[in-house]
Amino acid sequence: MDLISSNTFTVVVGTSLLGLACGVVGTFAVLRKRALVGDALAHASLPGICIAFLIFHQKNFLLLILGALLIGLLSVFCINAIRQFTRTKEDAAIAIVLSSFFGLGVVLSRIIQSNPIGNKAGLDDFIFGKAASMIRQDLYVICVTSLVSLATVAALVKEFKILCFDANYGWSLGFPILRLDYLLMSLVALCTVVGLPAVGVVLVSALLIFPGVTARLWTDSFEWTIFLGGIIGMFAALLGSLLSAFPISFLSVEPPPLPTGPVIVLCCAAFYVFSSLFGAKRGIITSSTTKKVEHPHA
Amino acid sequence: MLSSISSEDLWIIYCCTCATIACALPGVFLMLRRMSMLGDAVSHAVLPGIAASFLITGSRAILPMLSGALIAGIFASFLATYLTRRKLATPDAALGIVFTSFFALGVVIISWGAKHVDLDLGCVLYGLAEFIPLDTVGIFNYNIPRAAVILTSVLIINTLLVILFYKELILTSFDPVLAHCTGIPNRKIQYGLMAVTAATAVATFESVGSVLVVAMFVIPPASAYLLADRVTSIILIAGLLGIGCATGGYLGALHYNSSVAGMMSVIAGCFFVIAAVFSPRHGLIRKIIHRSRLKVRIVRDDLLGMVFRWHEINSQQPKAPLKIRDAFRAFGTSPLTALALLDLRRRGFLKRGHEGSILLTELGMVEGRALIRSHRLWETYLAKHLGLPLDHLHEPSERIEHYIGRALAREIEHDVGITNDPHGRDIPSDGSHKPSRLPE
Repeated sequence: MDLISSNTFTVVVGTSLLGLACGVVGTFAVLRKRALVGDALAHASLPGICIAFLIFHQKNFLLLILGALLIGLLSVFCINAIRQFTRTKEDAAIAIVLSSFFGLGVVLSRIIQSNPIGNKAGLDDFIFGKAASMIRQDLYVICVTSLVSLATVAALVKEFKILCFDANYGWSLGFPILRLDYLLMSLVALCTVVGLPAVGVVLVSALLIFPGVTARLWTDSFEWTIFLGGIIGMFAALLGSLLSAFPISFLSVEPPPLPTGPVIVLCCAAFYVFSSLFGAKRGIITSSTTKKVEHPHA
Repeated sequence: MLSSISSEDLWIIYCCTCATIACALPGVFLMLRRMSMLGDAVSHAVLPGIAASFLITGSRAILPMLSGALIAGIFASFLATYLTRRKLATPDAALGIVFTSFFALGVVIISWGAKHVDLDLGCVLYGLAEFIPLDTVGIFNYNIPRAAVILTSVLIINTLLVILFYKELILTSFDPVLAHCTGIPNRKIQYGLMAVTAATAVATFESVGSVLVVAMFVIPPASAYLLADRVTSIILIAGLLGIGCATGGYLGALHYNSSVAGMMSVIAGCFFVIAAVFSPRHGLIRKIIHRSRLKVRIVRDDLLGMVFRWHEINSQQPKAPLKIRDAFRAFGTSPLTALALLDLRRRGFLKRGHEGSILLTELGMVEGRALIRSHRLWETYLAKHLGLPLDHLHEPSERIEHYIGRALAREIEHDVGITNDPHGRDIPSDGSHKPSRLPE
């Protein structure tokens, strides 16, 4: 059968694996209260892609991703440095790094476009994502990334747990908290840049944030949250890529082909809305007895 | 290059300046409330509103588009607040999920109506600052760019709002509990700020793009926050930085033939880095200088103590003279020790004896006595009240001796009531000469 070799199969399997890896890694980021760092990372990887393109003059997926990864990690480093050495708060630090790095990316990409050697096609796909153009080689990269992320998480689940919930306590026990933090952020960076071509700069952070937040509505157990996060991410990506590959005709109107990334994000949103209504722990309908705490600043 | 600036260029710079200052005004208060990412979220969340109004009206008329965007922006920020309040997500995650789903919805609507809608996503992100002068309206026989009219009115409205609600904004940002007690409605002020943020984002991003909106909400206020402490000064400095970003960004974009919005964000980022490094009050350089001064002061005090102890022993039984070499051996061969020695010389605490030995001057003796007095009093105090063994007394006293003033020393003296420290050495008396200069 040519199912296995078909392009649709590549896209569906690739995005599902991506959803799984992003779900697991992103859940840690959400629990560590770094949900928006993924967003900053995704935006900051644009100049990385442009620089890699300007240096090597070719659109090799691996090279571009490597550039994105390096500049993305630099952005995380900048956020940490701003937080540590100035009196700027974390939210402002994230926004500053995000917008100035992305601004640089826009400047560079415009220069590439006006440059005769530059072939602009392809770079724009990184901003808005184009899962349909995923090829077999991309699938292998996604496989390796997912394996690496999941293996690292499995090996270090205890360390990451203490990093997420009580970093100071972990530090006093002698855990290398700073290095663990950078390792976690590197995993987030890896999943982000690999996800860029599929879902784009703006939406890749959704793949990181949604699964963790949704899983928290169902359980208070750490291990279950991670597990559910991975499952939710995978199924949202699977459903989204299937819906976009085989659109359901609605009221006998032939629907136009829909972009994969946004549809995946809307599937995530649907899962979240369902969970926020019926979630076992915090759902609005299922746990309406929970006391509401009023605070003047809320 | 400067000579070739035309009136079109000036209009673009004027519009970008208005946009940056208009964004910086609510941005200052967003920053103080740690809500800086709201600007980012809102400027992405407006997309479905724009797309839907396009699809419904089928025209690119400005009014329905802006109202659609405004509704979507305000709805998104309220939704994020609601999710946080109901504990359905943490504040940062709530922003993240709301703006990504809104943006995704916008992209889906656009591709759904791709046949009817001619909307370039790139315009939304990067803006069209370069084309501002092409779209003009006639006012009083003058052709003024439409964007200039819109952005000027936004700037005026935001300025008026900040002036009108200044007291309420300040109080709710810095002390929400006090604001609550004095009857200022925290939540209404917050919703108002969110609505103004959304409206500003919508009105500005049409001409300068959402990248720049995000940058201008955060970077000028954050840089100004490193340069000043009063909110009025922060607002003024942020405004000045905005003018700098607009001018520098436009000229830079002209030079490299690149995007105005992107270049302005880059310039703003550079301003922030400069402020973080060189700020006279909160900059990195000042911090480094301050820290090394403290280090020199501590080594200086310790050196003084060492020479004083030498004098003390030498007065009972002659001892080999203390050389500069010994000082370096005790405190490490580093510029720190050299600086401390120079400082002691400069203050007239130290003089040179024969054969390169170091001796205390009259003034140095007074200072050294005060220091050793603090050290031994603290040792005695620790032994009396904490019952620490003898070999545990020196370390903490070595650390605290720099910070015990004259008055405190006298109080400790009263408390311990003896003139010998636990090691049996004399605690020097208060010395009725000059008041101690330690600590500074």
